[in-house]
This record gives sequence, structure tokens and C-alpha cells, in this order.
Amino acid sequence: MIVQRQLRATDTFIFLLLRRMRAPLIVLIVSFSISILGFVLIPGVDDQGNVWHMDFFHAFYFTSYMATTIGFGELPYPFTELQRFWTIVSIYITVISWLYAFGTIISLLQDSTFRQIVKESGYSRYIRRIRDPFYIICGYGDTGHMLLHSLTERGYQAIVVDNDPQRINALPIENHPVYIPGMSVDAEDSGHLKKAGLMHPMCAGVAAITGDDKANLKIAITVKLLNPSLQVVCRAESQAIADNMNSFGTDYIVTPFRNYASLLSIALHSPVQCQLYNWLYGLSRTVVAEKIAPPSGFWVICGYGRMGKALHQRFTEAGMEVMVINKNAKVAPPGTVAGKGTEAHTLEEANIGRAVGIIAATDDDTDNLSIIMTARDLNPELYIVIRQNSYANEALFKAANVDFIMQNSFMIAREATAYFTAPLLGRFLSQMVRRSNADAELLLKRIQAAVADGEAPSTWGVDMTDVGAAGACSWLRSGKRLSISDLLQEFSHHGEEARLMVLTVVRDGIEHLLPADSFNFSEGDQILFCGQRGHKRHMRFWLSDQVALNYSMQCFEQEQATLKETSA
Amino acid sequence: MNMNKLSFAFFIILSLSINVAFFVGDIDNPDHHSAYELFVAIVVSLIATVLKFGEHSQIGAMLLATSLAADLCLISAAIVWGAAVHVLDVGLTPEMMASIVSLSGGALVANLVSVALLMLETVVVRR
Repeated sequence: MIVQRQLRATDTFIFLLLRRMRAPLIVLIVSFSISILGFVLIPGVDDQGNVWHMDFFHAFYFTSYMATTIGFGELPYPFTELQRFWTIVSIYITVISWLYAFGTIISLLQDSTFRQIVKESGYSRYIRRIRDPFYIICGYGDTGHMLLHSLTERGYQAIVVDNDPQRINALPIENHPVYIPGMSVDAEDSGHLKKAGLMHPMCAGVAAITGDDKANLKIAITVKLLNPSLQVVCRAESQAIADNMNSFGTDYIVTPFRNYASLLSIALHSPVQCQLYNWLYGLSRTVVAEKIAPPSGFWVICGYGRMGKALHQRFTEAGMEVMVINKNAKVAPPGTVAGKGTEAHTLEEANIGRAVGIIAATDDDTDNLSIIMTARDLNPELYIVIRQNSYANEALFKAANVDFIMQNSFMIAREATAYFTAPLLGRFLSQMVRRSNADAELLLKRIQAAVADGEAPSTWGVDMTDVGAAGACSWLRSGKRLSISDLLQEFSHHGEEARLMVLTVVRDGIEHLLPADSFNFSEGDQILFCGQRGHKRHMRFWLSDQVALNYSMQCFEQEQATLKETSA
Repeated sequence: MNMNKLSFAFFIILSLSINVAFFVGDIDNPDHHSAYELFVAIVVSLIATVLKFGEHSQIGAMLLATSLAADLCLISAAIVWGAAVHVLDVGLTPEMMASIVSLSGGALVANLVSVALLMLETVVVRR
């Protein structure tokens, strides 16, 4: 059994094929030899009427074309009656055995386990050949879809694992820019994760984002035990599971309810900070619209589940007056109105007329939509926050034209993408939140200037190491300087300013927030960039290619020299 | 008793015996070597090969390799025979016959290795 497990999938495939072909091949050999022997032994007559014995050469020739039903005729001389009799017998035994062999091959090709093996061997061959960093996505629901889309859009490879074969079968018909291998296996099994490339040197991270918290936990443990250097992003809906994941060093845990609650409370305090958060975290190519900030005052929250609880806590902390509507008033805080919130009288009982905003946070999309429609009728001035549970209802929520949509899968996908592609972003934003509103506004203006036409800026991280920036490293090692202004000069075109900025540089664990243009890079720096999408690829190339970097730096020096001469 | 092992051992030893039957005689004398014997040797050797298809064990793989070698030698001998008589039209000259018989000699060596491996397996795996 151990030997079998170590065999590669391709070998298993060939062994299975050969083993199943044993019986048909033996039948074929035996029937051919009987037929050939018969033709050799039976006397024939040549064109002069002499007795003539077929030799093995002619017998094999005749049997070959007879058995395969090609049938060239009676060669080299017309057959005698006895030969024809033997031909009849031979046709039946050889043609039947031939068909039997073919039938076995075809049924083998249609066999589901066999097809599984062929598929798996295809994947493992593909995964072995990957030469770029790739991510393993466990769970391919709405969240998986979004994450896969945003990762492939950023030029990363991904491998999808989900135990629902229907979701995996849908992969090839969804138009992805690159081939995405999808495995319909249980990601909780460490063997399956290994097959998906867990131990591959180019594997950069694993996203455990199935709908099941326990499964995510198991995946996180597996990854941290087998390949601790990998980045793991986990989805956790419950706090207990999140704490558990945290205990063994899961790199990033997304608890979507809490994230939305804190985002809304940041928005209440400082709309600019929220805007900054949305911009930097935004999945790119979405146009960032100016959103009116949520007003302070009296809020109504419909639904007191995990999300309702998180929101209630944050809003009371933020000093808002909050009224909860919940089906079961006993589990909710005192003063709660019992009901769904979909009927006008419940909303009126909760004083909707006096409220500045309403949050529809139940786990039923139809209920949420119904709540906001009714509430809007009663009080058209309301600021509306709605929870969207399923991506399938996207069109309805767009048409509802609300102020703020909370969609768990969207939150998870964008947090995971940001963590994978720009790990410093989370740290940077938590630093920014502590700063004043004026600082945030200033930064927002700078970012606005750095990107064109309201397109969301792209953020990405670069490590000044031999892996990501070999050219720059050898440049720095030779004692020369590389500053932010050099970088900006490389990316400016025809006198226009570069659409690029450095958000933060981490050196030896110390953060340099928004460094000045004169800042000099050194080896080992972790840098967080923000700017136009197209610059990312250019920068990766420029920093890793020594020749390109040396050439540009020499050009800059010469330009500066001529500038000095002309001014003198 | 294992029917699989029995049939395989039978075909391996039969293929060796028939090979010897064909091989014995003056190397360049066509009268000493029958085409029927070569034919049966090829058929038996092919069956022995197919019986070892898809074997996972090390010794199984070795047995498959040796019987493939034997097949190759015997089929080459048959091709030389057919070519001598029908294609080149030189007939079974002593040179041709010597070539055919020496090829079957090669198959004989491969078959001997097969039998030796078979013995080895029997001795090692005592059940």
C-alpha cells in the first residue's frame, strides 16, 4: 500500500491500463495463433493446380487483414473450399476477440476512477511545472470565485480545491485568463493538499475560505504543520474558531462580520479614513464613487445574529443610540422590538421615523430587501446599510440603490487578495487610523493625484531581496544609492509626474510611514507601493533587471549633470 | 496454490523449452530448425509477457523486462526469416539461418534469466 501511494499518478494510470488489458490481449494472441496455424496446415491450390501450403508469412498477412475486417480478399491464390471453411471459423474468433479488446479499452477510458486518475495526473504534471508563485484556494463558492478572479487579474497562478465536483466542473467554462487546475477533493485531507502543491517551492500561500469554519481550521493546521513558511489566510465566522486559528500562528484571519462592523464605525468617526480604506483595499478596476458618510444619531438594526451583534457593539461604543429588531426579543438586548422588520408596524414600533439610518442584517436576502423597501417608504431620508448573503442576488442589490452593502464573500476576497499581494497594507491602514483626519485627507489627495480617472489605485508590495529585486540589490551592494526620487523619475513620462507613490517602508521591523522622496532604499526593505496598475509589472522588471536599472540610473546622472551645467 | 502464479510459471518454462527445441541443431542447417517451433515459441512468449502486465513489484517488473527482451529477439528472428524467403528472395541460405538461430539464442538467454528470476522469487517468498 505504501509503495502504491508513492507511485506517481501517471504510473498508476499505465499500470491500471496494462492490468485490465491482460485478458483481452491473451484472447487476441490465442485467436490469432489458432487462425494462423490453421491456414498454414490446411493445403491450398496454386494457379497451376498444384497443392500449395500457405507459409507463416502469408498466413499472418491474411489473418491480420481479416481480423481487423479490412478484407483484401483471397491472396495470393483463390482459396479452396476447406480454406474458406477455416476462414469462416477464423473470422468469428478473431473479429470477436478484436472487438473485445477494443471494448475493454473504451470502457476503461469511460471508467470514472480511471478518468479521475487521468485528470489528477494532468494536474500534478501541470503543478510540477509551475515556475511562478501560486496560491491554493480551498473552497470555491462566491468567495472563492472573487478571490480567484482578483488573483488571476493580478497575474498570479491559482489552484482551486473544493469537494463539490459541480463547482469544479464549472471552472473550465468560466473564462479565466490562465488555465486554473481545479481538484474536486476534500481539502481537509493533507494528502490532497500536497497534491495541490502545498510543498511546491513556488507555492506562496493558501486561502482557507470554505463555508465551514472547522474545515478552515483543519486546513490552517495542516498548512502550518507541513509548510510553516506559507502564508495562510483563513475565513472564520465565529470568534472561538478565530481565536483558535490565531493560537497557532495563522497569518491572517478574516472575520467578515467584525470587519464590516469596524469599517462602519470608522466611517461614523471619520469618513475620510473609510474612503482611504475602500480605495486602497478596493479590488482594482472598480471605479471608486464618492460616498456620503453615514450620519450620527439614532440607528435601527434588523436582525441580531453574529453580524447584528457585532454591529450593535460597535455602534453603542461609537455613542450611537441603537434600536434592535429581532424575531426573538429574548436573546437580544433589552428594549428590542420583536418581529422581522419586514412589516411596517414593527418598524414604526422601533421609531423608524426618528432614525437616521437602518441596517438590514438578517441572513435572508429577501427579508433584507423587503426591510429596506418598507423602511424607505416610511422614512425616505434614511441612510441604508444592507447585508447581501448571496452573490446570485447581485442585480437586485444594485437596483435597490442603497448606501452601503455588506457582503461577506466580497470582504473576505478583498482582504485575502490584499494580504497576498500587499501584506503591509493592513499594518499601514491601522497606522493611518491613529493619525488625524487632516493627514488622511492629505494622503487621499496624493493618491487621487497618483492615479488617473477615478480608477481605484493598485497597491502592491516589493521586498528588496534577491528574489524580487535582484538588480536593485546588486546595485545597492556595490555601494551606490537608490532613492524614491530615482524610482519616480523612472516612471515619469514626458515631464509628467509618475503615477506612483510609496506608502510605507519597513526596515528591520521599523515602519517609515509615507517616506520623503529623498529616502534611500537599502537591502532587505519591504516596500508598499500605490499607483497605476500598469506600473506594477514595469517595476518588477526594472528592479530585478540589473542592466535596465544601471542604464536608467546613468541616464539620470547625466541629466542632472547637464542641468547643473546649464544653470551654471 | 495460486492460479496466476501457476499459469505464469507454466508459460515461462514452456517458452524456454520451446526456445531450446528450436535452437538445438546445426546453426546454419534449415532442416534442423522448424518454422512451427519458432511460431509456437513466439506465441507462448507473448502470452508470458502479457501475464506480467501491470505488475507493481520489483521482481514482476524484471520478469516483464526479460520476457519483452525475449519477444523482441524471437520476433526479429521471424522477421529475418520472412525477409529472407519473401522479400530478399535469397531463400534460407546458411548465413540467414545462422542469423535466425542466433537471434533465438538471444531469446534463450533472456528466457533463462526469466526462469532464474522465477526461481529466486519462489525461494524468497516462502508461503
